[in-house]
This record gives sequence, C-alpha cells and structure tokens, in this order.
Amino acid sequence: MSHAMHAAPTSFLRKYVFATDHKVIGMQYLITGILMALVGGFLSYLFRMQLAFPGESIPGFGKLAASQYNIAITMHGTIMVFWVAMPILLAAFGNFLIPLMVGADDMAFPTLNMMSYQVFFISTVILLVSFFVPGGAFAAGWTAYPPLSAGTYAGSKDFLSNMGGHLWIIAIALEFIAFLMGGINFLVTSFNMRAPGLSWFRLPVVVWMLDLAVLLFMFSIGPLLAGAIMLLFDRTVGTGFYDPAQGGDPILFQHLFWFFGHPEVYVMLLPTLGFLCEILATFARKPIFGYKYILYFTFGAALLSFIVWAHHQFVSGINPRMANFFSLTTLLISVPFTVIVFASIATLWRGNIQFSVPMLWAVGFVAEFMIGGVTGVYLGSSAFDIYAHDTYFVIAHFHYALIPTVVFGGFAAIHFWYPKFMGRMPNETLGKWHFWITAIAFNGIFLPLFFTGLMGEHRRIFDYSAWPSLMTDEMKLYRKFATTSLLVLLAAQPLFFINMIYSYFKGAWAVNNPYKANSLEWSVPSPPPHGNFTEVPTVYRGAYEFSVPGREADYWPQDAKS
Amino acid sequence: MNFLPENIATYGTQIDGLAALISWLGLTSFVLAEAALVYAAFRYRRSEKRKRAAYIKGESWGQAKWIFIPLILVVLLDIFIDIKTTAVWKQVKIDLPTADMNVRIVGQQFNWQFTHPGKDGKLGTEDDVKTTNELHVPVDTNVVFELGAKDVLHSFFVPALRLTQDAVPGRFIHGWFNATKPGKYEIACGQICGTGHTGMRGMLIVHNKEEFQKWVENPVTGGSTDPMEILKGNGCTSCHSVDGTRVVGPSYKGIWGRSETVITDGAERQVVVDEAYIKKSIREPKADTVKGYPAGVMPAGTLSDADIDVLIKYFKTLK
Repeated sequence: MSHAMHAAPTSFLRKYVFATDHKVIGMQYLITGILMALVGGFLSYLFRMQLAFPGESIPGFGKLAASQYNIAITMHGTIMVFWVAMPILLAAFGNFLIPLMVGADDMAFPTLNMMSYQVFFISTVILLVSFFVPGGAFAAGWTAYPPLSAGTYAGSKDFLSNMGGHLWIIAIALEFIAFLMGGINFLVTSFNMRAPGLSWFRLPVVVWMLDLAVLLFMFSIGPLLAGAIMLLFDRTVGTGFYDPAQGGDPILFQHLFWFFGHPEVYVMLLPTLGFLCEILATFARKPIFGYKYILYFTFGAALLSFIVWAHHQFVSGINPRMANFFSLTTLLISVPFTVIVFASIATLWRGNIQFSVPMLWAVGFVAEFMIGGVTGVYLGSSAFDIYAHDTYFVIAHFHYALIPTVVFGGFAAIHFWYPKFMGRMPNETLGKWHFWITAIAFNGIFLPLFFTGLMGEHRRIFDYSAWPSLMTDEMKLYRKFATTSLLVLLAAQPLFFINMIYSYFKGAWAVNNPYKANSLEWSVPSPPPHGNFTEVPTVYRGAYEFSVPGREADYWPQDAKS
Repeated sequence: MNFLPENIATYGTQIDGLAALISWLGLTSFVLAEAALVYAAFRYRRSEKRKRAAYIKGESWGQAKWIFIPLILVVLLDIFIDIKTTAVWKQVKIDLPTADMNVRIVGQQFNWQFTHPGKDGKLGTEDDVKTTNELHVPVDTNVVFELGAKDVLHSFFVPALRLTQDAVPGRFIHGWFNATKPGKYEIACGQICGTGHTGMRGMLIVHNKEEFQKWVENPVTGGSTDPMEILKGNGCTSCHSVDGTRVVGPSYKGIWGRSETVITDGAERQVVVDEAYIKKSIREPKADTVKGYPAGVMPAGTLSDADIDVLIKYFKTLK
C-alpha cells in the first residue's frame, strides 16, 4: 500500500494523465476548476452586458437573443456551483491537504481517486459539448424546476426538450458520482491514516471542515440524484413524476433539489472556513480562538442545514403553515456563523498580524461574508420574503455569501499553499493589486443589486425595456454601474494568472516552511515528493501552538518533539 | 426603506415595517461587528514595538464569553424577528379574510388570464368576464384569488401589493389582497417560464367603487389605438417580433399578404395572410401552425374586433 515503497512514476502519461498521486489529482481539479471559472465568468459578462445595454451588440459575441440569455444564466449558475466551487474548494484542496495534514503518503484508495477526476473530466466535457448541440445548452434555470425543465407540457417538444437538457442532467449526475468517489477517500484517509499522536482534536480545522463537507454532501446527494434521474425519465421515456397531467407533482422536485441545495451551500462554505482558520492563526501568530467551539458549532450548523431547505420555497405553494418552522430554523442558522465570525475577530485580537496576500483574502472573506449573513435575515423572515423572493435582492444576497466563500476563499487558499505545491513564492505586489481591485469591484457589482431588488427588479428578465417601472434613470444607472464593475473585476484577473505563471518560473525558491506554520504539510519539502514523508511523522500537539509563552520561537510544529 | 416601491396593500405596511425592523437591528449588529473586525485588524498589525502575539486559546469560559455574548444577543434578535415575522406571515398567507370578490388567475406561456365574476358577483357563471393581462378590482375590497398555471410554473408577483405567489400547474392556490389606492400597477411573472418570460407583463387596475361598477356593466379591455400597446398588453411580443427577428413564433414583419405554408390537422396547405386568417390565428391558434414553428405553444387570445383592426392596419405598414 505504501507509496514510499514504490518509485515515483516517470512516464508523462503515468505522472500527469493517469496519475494516482493526490497532489497531481488536486492540481488537475484545480486547473479544471479555474478554466471553468473563465467560462462561467464569460457568461456573466454576456448577460450583464445585455442587462446594462439591452439589445446592443456585445463586443466579442454579438447580439444576445432571449433564448441565449436563458442559456447564459442557467449555465453560469451551474458552472459556478458545480464546476468551480466544488472542484476547487472541496476536491482540489481536499486532495492537496488531507494526506499531507494527517501525515499519510497518499489517499487511502489512489486508483479510486484517479477515477474520481476522470469521471469529473468526462462530466466537464459533456457539459461543454452541450453548448454546441442543436437547440443549445440547458435554459430552464440552474435549479431546473419542472415542468419547464421536464418538457412535459403542451408545445414544449420543439424548443426546450432538447439534447442540451439531457446532457445537463447526465453531466450533473456524473459529477456527483465523481465527488462521491473522491469523498470516500477523504473520509477513509482521515479516519484511518492519521499519523501516530494525531488525535481528532489535534487535527487542523481544515481537515475537519473538508470531512464534514463530504459528509453533508453524501447525506444530501441521494434525493437529488434520484430526482435528477426521474427528471431525465420524464424527458426521455415519458414518465410523469413531475407532470400533474399524469398524477405527478412539480413541487416534489423542488423539495428534492433544495434538500440537497441547502446543505450544498455548506459543502462550499466549510472548506473555506477551514482555510480561514489556518490562515488567520498563521498570520496572526495566535492559536485559533475557541478551536473546539468552532467545531461544535459547525456540527450544529451542519445538522441544522438539513432542516432549512423550504426557505427556498416559502411562496412556491407549500402549505403556508410549514413556513413558520423553516423561518425559525433559517434565522437560527445565523447562530453558528456568529460564533465563527467572532472567533475570527478574537483570533486577530492581541495578535501580531501580517497582512500577506492570503491574509488579505481571509480577512476580506470575514468582512464580506457578514453582508451575506445580515441580508440573509431579510429573506429568512418568511413575511418579507413574500416581497423579495423573486427579486435581485436574492441574487445580491447569495452572491455575497458565495463569492466570499468561493472567490475569496479560493484565492486565499491558492496563495497560501502555492509555495508548498509549486516550490516557489508567489509575487506579493501583484497579489495585493489583484486582491484590492477584485474586492472593490466585487462590491461594485452586487451592492447596487440589493437596491434594484428592493425597488422591485425581478429575476431572469432578458430586457427591462419591457418594464417601464424598472427603467427609471436611477435603475439604469445602477445596472450600468454593476456591469462596469464586473468589467473591472474581469479585467483584473490577468494579474492573478500572470502572478501564478511568472512565479512558477521566476519566483523566489520556497523553503519547507516559509510562514513558520505548525501543521504537517510544512514539515516536508516544497513541493512534497511522491509519497510525501520519508518516514511516518509522530505528532505531539495541536496545529495552532503559536506564540507559546516561554518558547523562543513563536511557532511549534506538530511533529517537533520539543 | 424608501427604496421599496409605493405600497397599496393593506398588509403591505406590516411587511415594510418588518423590513425596517430587520434593517435597524441587522445594520446595527453589522456595523458593530465590522468595526470590531477592522479595529482588531489595524490595532494588532505587525509592528516593531510588539514582539509577539498573546497566547489566548479561547477555550476557558472567561475568554470564550467574547463569542458567547454576541451569540446570545443574536439568538434573542432572531427570536424577536421570528415572532414579528410569524404574525405578518399569518396575516398574509394563512388567514384568508371573507371574500368581497373572487377572481381566478391562470398563468400561461406568456401571459396572464384573469376571470372576473361579472355582474352577478359569482365566479363560474355565464357572465364571467375573461381578460388577458388585465386584472380589474375595486379599491378597499378583500379580493380572494385562486391561482393556477396551464403549462409551467409561473409566479404572480405584484410589487405594489408586496405579494408573490407561485402558480403551479395541477392545483389552485388561494390567496388574498386588498388594494387601497386606485391606479395601474405592474404584475410580473417571478419564475422563469421560458423564452418569453420577459414579456409576461400584466396590469392590476384598481378602480374606485363607482368606476368599477361601470366596468362590470361594460367590461371593455384594451381599447387602445396604439398597436404596440395592444401587442405588449396581450403578451404577443414575447414570441413575435416586429423587426423580422425569429423569437418563438413568426415575426410580424412582412406578414400581411404573405403566402405561408401551414400545417392543419397534420397536412400542409398554402394560405395567404388576410383578415380572416389573422383573426383565426389569434382566437384559435392551434388550428393552423406555420411550418417550421412549434405547434400548440400559443394560447388563445381574447382581443376584441376593434383591437384586431388596429393590429391589421399596423401589420400592413410592416413591410
């Protein structure tokens, strides 16, 4: 089993294509995720341009038709959640970090791990191909509510029940299978392959968070996978699970979707909370404040996330009495996140803070995520949701939850562990410019949308020229401001790519432990060799023993005997 | 909360009040938390004077109180907001008042169909008044609606009433509102329903009581001499362009006098587009389908002869 006994693979195919090394698989997931983010970003460019300048030709594309607009918004949501957030935060960093942080030579099942990426790759190809089939890609919204998505209603056959929708469902289903294969590896590796002395409460928070994310995913995915297959059957073989004319029920799908969909938010969020803890402790040179409380309240949030799903359905036609229960649970989910925000602030308190690039992204995450949290209270309140449910207020809210999580969290992690996996230090100046432009532009996109949402701007409209009350000068200005900010944000991203590529060739060499951090991945060379550790490390303490009184050094590696 | 549009619903005041309450409580907590974060980040940034950080693990109660005190405050605020929320929700969605008037609302691709009770004040009788995209109600009246959908999900969203309710095929959902001010207000479709979703725009027309009585006696709709107003008002432009662009159905450009291949009962035939064909296509759209376009998509229109005459005059100019 042990990789240390095998020689590292030498052929190109074995090393990079049919790789079983967790670090290479992590890199495959990361690069695929980043490339998909470019596709998702381009789609947002298309629909934001159409919204700000309706009917005008979009540079680099041409005129956007109503049907293409629906494709763009559907695929933007699908790609950003399933092909960017999950592969980058969960799959890439789970693969990079778990074996190294538990002191293992690789994942428990390396071949299964390889298959996980390969199935994911196939799902990516299928999704991208769907743009080019007759009728275009799926266009019924990323939540795929039937009957529109099922195509079982009168007159649907010719323009929606197309190949794009079939491929969308198949790609999603394959992607879930890929993450199940990867996820079982995360769990088995961190349960069974921890180094001697590495008890549960000495594990870095990020390992806990990645494992919890996998558990949430596994417990919630069954209903949606079944729901997606039923949808595929409705589309292809004429079943009527969601067709009222055949005794089916469209709202059934919404329950199956959101029973998965809400825990899915935490599948994305938990890895980032893990990155946050590692980065805050390292750059504040302090133990993470309330390690055990963070874990306990995260368990609480994870359990609670299974009983909040119907807040997506307050006005969908469910029994209105149900809303009272879901409104209460939804408001209460603010509790664990209050703990985490205040634990972050308390970690900074009386620290010795260095604002490196990863630290900027991490503190930026906390600052921005709070906006997502506070605006969630408006929507969790079922009565105000009656007004805001289908407006841009919702769009702004969930982007303030997801962009800090995925973009801020993703960039934080990439910058923080870049030296470990690339063997070179990324450029700080480029990194800081990239951070500030991206962070400011992000607020420029979504702050105006809270206000247009409150003014009644409803969602998924292709051209507001048809709605005089939503074409006031003020609202037009807000829309143009949001779109311009998006252009600035997109224009800043080459800074990131230049930094990554330039530093790979020209950056300063990274030592084993450039930040003087404690967890086990910093005890091996950068980049770690095949098999990671030359001998199995022994762990003597937790991962956050920074600035311990009486010690000269302000850090204390987990595997240092004294 | 002056960002919200004008409110004309009896219960709208409570909904707006809830938004104001959440804004005050939320913004206060938010500003305090951000201030603490920014203060900590700047106050304790790396400097020459401070040699090292304090060793604080935050696990003893004495230290952990700094996360538990905010936590208790947040729980109390949550419960307070939840109690207020539940009361408003109950009033809007659970306790339907006795109806002064019943209407039926049906969403379809891509317009709203409204059935008003007519002179006898009862739904489901001979004198029911059916309209497309125009809902007529009297002011200060408890209107109880039954909301359904013909094909896919739609959502009855009237910003001025602070009301959203999804319309689901296969069932009727009951709800209510009471409008307090005469005028015309937009009705949107809040749920993506297909390519023509943008054009699914209805109007809520609130009359004062005498005016409403007059409308019931002589229920005219439309009556416009502006063809685009008629086309948009009936949701036609969701699927048919006037500039030759293909949307869902054929464009109106050059339609008058054109020879079309249509499919009637599965057989192809040639027709010339004239007045009779246009009337039939609006009122019985399923009878003939232009070849190359999807069949069975278009709902039957309820346009008056006068409206159709205005349209025909306009089509003649669309060369």
